[in-house]
Amino acid sequence: MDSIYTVSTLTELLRRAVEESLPFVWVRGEVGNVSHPPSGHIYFTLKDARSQLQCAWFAGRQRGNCGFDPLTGEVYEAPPPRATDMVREGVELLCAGKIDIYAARGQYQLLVELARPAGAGLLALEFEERKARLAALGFFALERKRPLPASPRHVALVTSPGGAAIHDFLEISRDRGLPATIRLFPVQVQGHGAAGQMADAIALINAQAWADVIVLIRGGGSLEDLWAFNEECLAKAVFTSRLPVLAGVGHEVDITLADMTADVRAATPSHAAQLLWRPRAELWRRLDDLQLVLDRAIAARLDDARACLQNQVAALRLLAPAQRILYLEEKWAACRKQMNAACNAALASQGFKLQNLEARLKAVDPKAPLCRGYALLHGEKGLIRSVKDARKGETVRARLGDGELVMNVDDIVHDRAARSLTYRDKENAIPL
Amino acid sequence: MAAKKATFEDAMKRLEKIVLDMENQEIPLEKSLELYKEGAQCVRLCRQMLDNARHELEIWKSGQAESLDEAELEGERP
Repeated sequence: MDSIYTVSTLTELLRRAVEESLPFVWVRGEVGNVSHPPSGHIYFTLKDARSQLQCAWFAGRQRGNCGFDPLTGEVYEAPPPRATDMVREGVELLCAGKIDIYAARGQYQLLVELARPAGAGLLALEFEERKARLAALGFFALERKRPLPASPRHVALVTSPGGAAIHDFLEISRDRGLPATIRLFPVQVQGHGAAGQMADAIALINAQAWADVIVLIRGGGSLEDLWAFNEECLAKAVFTSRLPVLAGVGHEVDITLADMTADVRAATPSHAAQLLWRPRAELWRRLDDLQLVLDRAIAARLDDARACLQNQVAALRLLAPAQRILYLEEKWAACRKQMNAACNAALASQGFKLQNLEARLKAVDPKAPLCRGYALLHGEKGLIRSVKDARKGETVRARLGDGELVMNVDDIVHDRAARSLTYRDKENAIPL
Repeated sequence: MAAKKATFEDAMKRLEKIVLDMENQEIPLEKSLELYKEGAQCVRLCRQMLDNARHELEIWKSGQAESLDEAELEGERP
């Protein structure tokens, strides 16, 4: 049974076959999964769209400082690029070395002897080409972007059930938004067929017309890990989706064509959950605020009503009959007082007047002059004011202050002299 | 579940409208007391619903939706 080998024998045979047929190879590919351990060795993979090749570039083989290109013989004018600068994620590299079979792990790898840059990474190039093509088709046009539904109740989640992305998404969702149903559409998010699965899921979700929004998420990874999200079939499914699509692929720096086509791009799966729902605490706060305003409004309304009532009660008290009687009594008392005062004033005024009249009456008492020596003569015909009023022989009575004298008129003497004197006086009178 | 959610949003909207109306001093006292009663009911309803708010998780499998516990996720593979 020569055809049955032990693992070691087979591995040894393979190693020999490879070494014989491929003693030294040149291989071109895009660099990925670069690691720089402290030993100074560089581990990376070279890849194209279908295959990957593990590569190891040991520190002792990194002859970057020999001053000339070992492949072309070109003498460097400037210092050559260092190995660590050359082996960068995504760059296209041309590597030379030999294939090594690592028996202990059953793996093969390229032990790199030489490397030189071979232009921009093919994937990166392809990405740029596709991006330009899809942009021309209007895939990324801002005007066709739709807003996310507010408070979605039905969320279609397109992702891998085993990934970190769904955990991050559900973790952040837990305390956010109103209760929703999240329906997971399990798909591969990496590798061959992943893009097709995701595109199919999006088409299915649209056909179901159950969801309010489609969420397409994947955790972080290298450019080729995320490559499915740059496939045109997925971008097209997102573009033609009738339902709005929220995409959160990789980390913040990762931008894929699916991201760019989606209606809303989240930086990460967690961010997608944040964009979809507001924190529930916000709803609590809003509810608390509304309750506060409600309580204040009713309290203010009741205070107003109470104040109004108190005003009316006070007004009613003022208008009560008892109050009116009191008021009238007070008014009556005031009137009486006023009347008394007016009467007293009138009396006092009349008293003064009486006293005055009395004094004046006293002044004109006819008896008063009689006491001073004047006499009133009464003839038979009454009071004698002129000598003409009396006759000779007539008995006249002379009234004095303390009695009467009864007298006879013996003679009547007219007072001519006095009259002529008066005339004389008048003639001599000096006009005033 | 869907009906409940609709009620939450309706209750919230109704509450906002009530608060707006209550701030308007023109409405009679009896009416505002009525509104307050309704508003308080909305608040109670919303609180209850927020207290019980949980997202439900389903998985689409073999052409139909099945309920899914988050703990089962590790085992699920497409």
